[in-house]
Amino acid sequence: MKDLPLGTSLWWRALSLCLLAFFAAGCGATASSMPGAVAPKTASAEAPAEPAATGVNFRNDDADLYREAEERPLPARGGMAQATPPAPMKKEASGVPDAATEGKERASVATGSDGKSVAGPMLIYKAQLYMAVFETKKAIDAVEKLAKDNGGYLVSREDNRITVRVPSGKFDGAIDEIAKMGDLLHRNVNVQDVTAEYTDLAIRMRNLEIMRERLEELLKKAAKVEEALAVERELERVAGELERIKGRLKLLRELVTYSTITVEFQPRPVDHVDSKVRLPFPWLDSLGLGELLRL
Amino acid sequence: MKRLVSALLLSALPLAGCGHHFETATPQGFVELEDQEAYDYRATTADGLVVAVREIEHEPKGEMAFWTRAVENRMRQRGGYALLGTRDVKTKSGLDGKQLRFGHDESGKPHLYYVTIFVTESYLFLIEAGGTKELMEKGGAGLDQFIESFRVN
Repeated sequence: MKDLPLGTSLWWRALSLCLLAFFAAGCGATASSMPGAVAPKTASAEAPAEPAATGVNFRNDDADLYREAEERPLPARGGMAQATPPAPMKKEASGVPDAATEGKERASVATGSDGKSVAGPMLIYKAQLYMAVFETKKAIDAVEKLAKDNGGYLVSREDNRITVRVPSGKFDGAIDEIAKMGDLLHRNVNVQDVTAEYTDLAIRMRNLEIMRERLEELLKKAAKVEEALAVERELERVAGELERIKGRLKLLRELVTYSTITVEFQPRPVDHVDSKVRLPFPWLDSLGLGELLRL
Repeated sequence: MKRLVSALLLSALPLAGCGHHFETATPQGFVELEDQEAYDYRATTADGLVVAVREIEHEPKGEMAFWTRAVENRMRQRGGYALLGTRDVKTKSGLDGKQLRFGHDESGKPHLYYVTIFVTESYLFLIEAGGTKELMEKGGAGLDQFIESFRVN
């Protein structure tokens, strides 16, 4: 068999190394998607975990690289040196607010698109309020107005239920105002810490962008149609993955920036047993307008 | 003789609450409804403002605070009624009671529902009043008089 021309051989080696580097980088950064990885936490009761062991079999030198804080560029094109995968972006320690303060500190949403770590915890706040069923329409109108007056917006509205989103900094104040609009029967606040997921995605996105640039350079240098097609296929895959990650990052930023409040005008659901003590007096059950006004 | 006849006639008059351990006078503009199963007395206006009395044997015994809280929890937590306020009431005969005022939407319209509780050694007396918010606010004075005129035998 004839040997391949030197240029083509080098080109294929470079492509192979780039692909190997991409997969290695992707595996190292996607801690949250691998078995045993850290999932987004709720209630912010726990400190954020260290980057989890992913179970991927890195080469020993790669494992060290991923634990370092510096980014290393890939070697110059055409070099025969061992290509090292890009290390994760520098990761600053992120503090977690005291859970007892129930989210008094709101996450400052750093622009994760450049792959830099976020300045503070990324927290998603959701509240569910159950109000007594009285003057419902008036109260729903008031909730919608409150949201808009605070820079928020309406998500959905029904006869006895409304969901709005308000800037996270206005979350507590909005809940207090809504509680004054009627008889608040029950309040439920949920906090979800997505800092780990956000950071992880930001790192993956940056690595993919680097990979895309390298592939574009390779595409320009492709000498044969088969080579060009192979690179284009890989480019398409990388572009698709990038779009998915960007979409998810955008959604997380949106969810952190705006908190969700749902107000329902109904008795508390039956599964909350502790709030519905049923005394053994049958006459209590027959109290109410339904019986009284049935003439 | 005449006095005896008068006394017999008076005792035969169909006083509201006859056969029960309370007395009350049907307010002006109301008509008493007969043969009530769930209530010991019930009356209504032509527009649907209704007032009713329940007489409940006081077993097991409990204090006013207990029964007030029981009614409040029943209406708020299980019924979704809004507690609008609580006030002390007193009848002309000197009986102390507690009135809970609730609001609730019925078929999308705001209604008011008042429950006035009197506790004696042998019985609990619940006076309920309800109707649209508009009717209840208009008929407020009449309802107050009805409660003030309530007597326990």
